[in-house]
Amino acid sequence: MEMPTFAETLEAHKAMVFSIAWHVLRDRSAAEELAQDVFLQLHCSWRSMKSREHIVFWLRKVATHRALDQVRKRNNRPETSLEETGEPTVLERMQDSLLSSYLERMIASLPDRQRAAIVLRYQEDMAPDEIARVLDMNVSTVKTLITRGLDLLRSKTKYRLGVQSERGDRHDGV
Amino acid sequence: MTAFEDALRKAMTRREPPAGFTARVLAKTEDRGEKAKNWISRIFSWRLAPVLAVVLLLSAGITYQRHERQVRGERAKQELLVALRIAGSKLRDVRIHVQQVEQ
Repeated sequence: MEMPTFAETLEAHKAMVFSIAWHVLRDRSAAEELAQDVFLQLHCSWRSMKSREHIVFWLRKVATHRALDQVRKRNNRPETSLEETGEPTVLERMQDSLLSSYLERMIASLPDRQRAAIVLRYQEDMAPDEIARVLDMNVSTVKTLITRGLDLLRSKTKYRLGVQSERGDRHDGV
Repeated sequence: MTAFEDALRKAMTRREPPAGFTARVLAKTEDRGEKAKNWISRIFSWRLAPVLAVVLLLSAGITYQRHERQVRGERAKQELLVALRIAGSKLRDVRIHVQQVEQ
């Protein structure tokens, strides 16, 4: 398959890179800056890109690692820890958008690596072995991170948002 | 996939970056390209001519010094060889003389 141009790649993958940065950093301007830097780095490394798949893999990897680095550098653990996150005032089943926004806040409160693994799993729909390659980890470590992340998220949302707890079948998706 | 995971997927749908993102990135890449070109042209600009002249003179001086040292070394070597040759012939004369005296 023919290689795309840099402009085509930018247009095709800007949402992916921005969203990875956004979900890890939870800061719109920082996410935009990071996404810009990732594409500038891609522009510099453009000659070493071998295929479309290679470009996507590279973008995911660099975006995730840069976002994690930035979180560590700023020591930007979210202002609200999982325990501190307030319960929504409406405990009955919430509208999808409200639930999504609540879940996003919950994801932001996860530890860095768990958050990155969850973002790649559920935003990018990547398999654990692909996530392992992006994060330079063992597949088993990635599976553990995702399972623990899901457990943490479930423990907070269980019974509160009317979301059914599926502890029994939680490994299905991992 | 569980309902919870489904809710997670919905919560984590991709978002579009702020408007003008593509234009800003492309402008930055062009800006970088221009800066790189300027850097190269600055290297070859006339402002750097005196610096280049000094560098050229220094390297020429160093090369000349090396050449001089090499010539002096060669000369010293030749002189040493001549001295050894003379000393050798003198020794041969002495040996012949000693042999004549012994006989």
